[in-house]
Amino acid sequence: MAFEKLLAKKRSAILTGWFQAVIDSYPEETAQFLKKEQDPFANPVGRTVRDGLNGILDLLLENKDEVEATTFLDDIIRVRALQDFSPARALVFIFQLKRVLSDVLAEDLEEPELSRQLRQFAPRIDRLALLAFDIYTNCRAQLYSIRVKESEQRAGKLLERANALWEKRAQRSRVPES
Amino acid sequence: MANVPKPDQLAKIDHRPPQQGWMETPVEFKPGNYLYACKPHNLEILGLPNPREWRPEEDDWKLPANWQEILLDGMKERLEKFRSFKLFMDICVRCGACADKCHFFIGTGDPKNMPVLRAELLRSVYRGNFTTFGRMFKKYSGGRELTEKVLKEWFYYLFQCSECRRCSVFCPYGIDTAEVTIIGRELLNLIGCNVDWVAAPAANCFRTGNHLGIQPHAFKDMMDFFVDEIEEVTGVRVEPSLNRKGAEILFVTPSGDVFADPGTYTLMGYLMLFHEIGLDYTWSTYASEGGNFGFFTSHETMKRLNAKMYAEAKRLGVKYIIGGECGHMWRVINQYMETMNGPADFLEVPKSPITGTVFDNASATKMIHIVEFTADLIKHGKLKLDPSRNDKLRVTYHDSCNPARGMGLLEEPRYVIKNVCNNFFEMPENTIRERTFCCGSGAGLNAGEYLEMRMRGGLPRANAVKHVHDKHGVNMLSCICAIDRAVLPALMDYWVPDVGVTGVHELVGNALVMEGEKQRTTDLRSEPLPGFEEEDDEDL
Repeated sequence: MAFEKLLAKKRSAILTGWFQAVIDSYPEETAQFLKKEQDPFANPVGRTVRDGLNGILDLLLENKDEVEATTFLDDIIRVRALQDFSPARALVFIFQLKRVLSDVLAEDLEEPELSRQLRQFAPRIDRLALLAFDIYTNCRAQLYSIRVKESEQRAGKLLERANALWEKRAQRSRVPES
Repeated sequence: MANVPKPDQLAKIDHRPPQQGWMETPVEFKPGNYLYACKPHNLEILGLPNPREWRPEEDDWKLPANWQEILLDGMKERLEKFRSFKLFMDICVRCGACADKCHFFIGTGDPKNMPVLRAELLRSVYRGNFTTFGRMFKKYSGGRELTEKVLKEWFYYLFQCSECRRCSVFCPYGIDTAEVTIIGRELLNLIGCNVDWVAAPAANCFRTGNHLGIQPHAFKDMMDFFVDEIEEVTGVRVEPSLNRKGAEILFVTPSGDVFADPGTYTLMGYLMLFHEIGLDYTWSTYASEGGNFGFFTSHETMKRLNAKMYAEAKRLGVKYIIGGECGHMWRVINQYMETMNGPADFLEVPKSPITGTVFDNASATKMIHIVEFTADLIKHGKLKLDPSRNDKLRVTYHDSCNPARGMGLLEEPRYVIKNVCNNFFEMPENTIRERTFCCGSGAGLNAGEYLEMRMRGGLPRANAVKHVHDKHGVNMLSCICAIDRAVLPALMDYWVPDVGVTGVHELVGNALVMEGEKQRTTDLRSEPLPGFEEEDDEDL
């Protein structure tokens, strides 16, 4: 319990450190912008990351099941799966929470009991990472299927007219229901 | 034994990108982050230089031996010819007002997509070669030599600009970075460095009159198909004419709407509207393209493609032209037509034959946007509309960049939508009207191989749609641009999966009560009309 209380107390510093770790994966000029601009429509990436991390921290502090973090993880990973990151760099932010916790709680962790509780807490972060792998793969798979769908739609009517692809669909739409 | 790093060494791994100046950061071409190179035969059709097979990923771009001389001479010529280009090269004070306004910067996080820096790619070469200070002090004055590395950087970033001009709205000096991109791409074309997604449509259009290279018989076949579809939904058989001499009006729209969903439904909306008001108009199978990918190639190519619409208007003897829901076509018409192919003195100032309204705003170009034409019809009560047929839709409107920023068409589309739909919701104000975010695929970037880059560029737009989707349950994104209609469905699929995409005249077609029509049970997409199914059953 002492550990959860400590997390709650240092929540703001943890969030700041975690957010900084994520935006540090961008070039310096971009990181400044992501941090400074508060308007959610002028800075959708910065806002999505901040809100997502905030939501994940809430769940962790409230001792809820990590699965409930799926939406927040999806919001962040949907962006990073698309940007110019390798899978490792796209998802490293989950593991960076461990480092942030060690840094922010450094003094407190000198107490052996708290240090032990941090070790007990760490697997929760690993479970977040496992969820993240699934989400990342899902986003990538979605991109591939969107690409196929788009190329079908592009000349859809032409293909339909040529009866090349959607012959069955065309027939279905022409047979009156009886 | 392998040199295994110690745990403390591993812990020191820095995830921050290496810090080096932008001039030293080279571009890396990887699948998905560049557009395929132009095919030689497309350049040959257009008579453009250096046709050859090449790939951006390869080191050797097969450039002419004197490519630097060609580009620098080309730059010199354009600095003298276009005063705007000279000003834009000189007057930027790097205040940064534009820096974070580009959808590609916001979506990619790449600082070289800040408009100021993208323009700096050309400015640095300008400074290094055309200013005394720059020639003397080179890098210390922000100047640099034109090397292959610089050329590749131009190619990479000039095709990450969709020429949407959002940045120009925020520039205190009025620098239009799109114009810098336009000149930059024109320079690249001097040595054959175009992309095929631009060169192929331009070549097709030059030969056959439309981007897809569809010949007249296929065009007619598609029109017949739409006539059948409309009859199936409404019971009314519309009778459009093709290449008819003596018609009062020539109608030109992007060919994308003839062949690809969901633009096809918008086209059906045009056909129904014109039939209902009894408009004396004709389509052309030669001027069968409103879009102009020449605009993304060079001024000369743009001029040649634009000329065909007016040549066809002259041949058919029409009084004026109505243009469909297209994006960059309207920038070409409003900003370049008069000095490029004008004066169109063989045409008359557009006057609506139904309401008598004279469109003085088009007195130079003799061409009006269908949305202003329709808005005028509605304003004068000339259309019988039943907006409840669109009740299953909760609609928002994406200001397509060029009609919004290039011609100021802001109110008319909203007026039309509000008259044909009962549920309309605006996106946040800093994402619409003059400040609208681009779809991320304009200016010839809408190729399949570029999907991921487009998804990045479209992120800010999708983010605003997501907001109204979450807040108001918006499920339909309307727009007045064929590229929007082609690319926004994919953007929505990734970012906001429950939102569809429509043209404004599809909504008009659905709401339009036509004389002699049967009880409609489906919309133009052949999807059931909620609330109208029961009556249909009773009829049976």
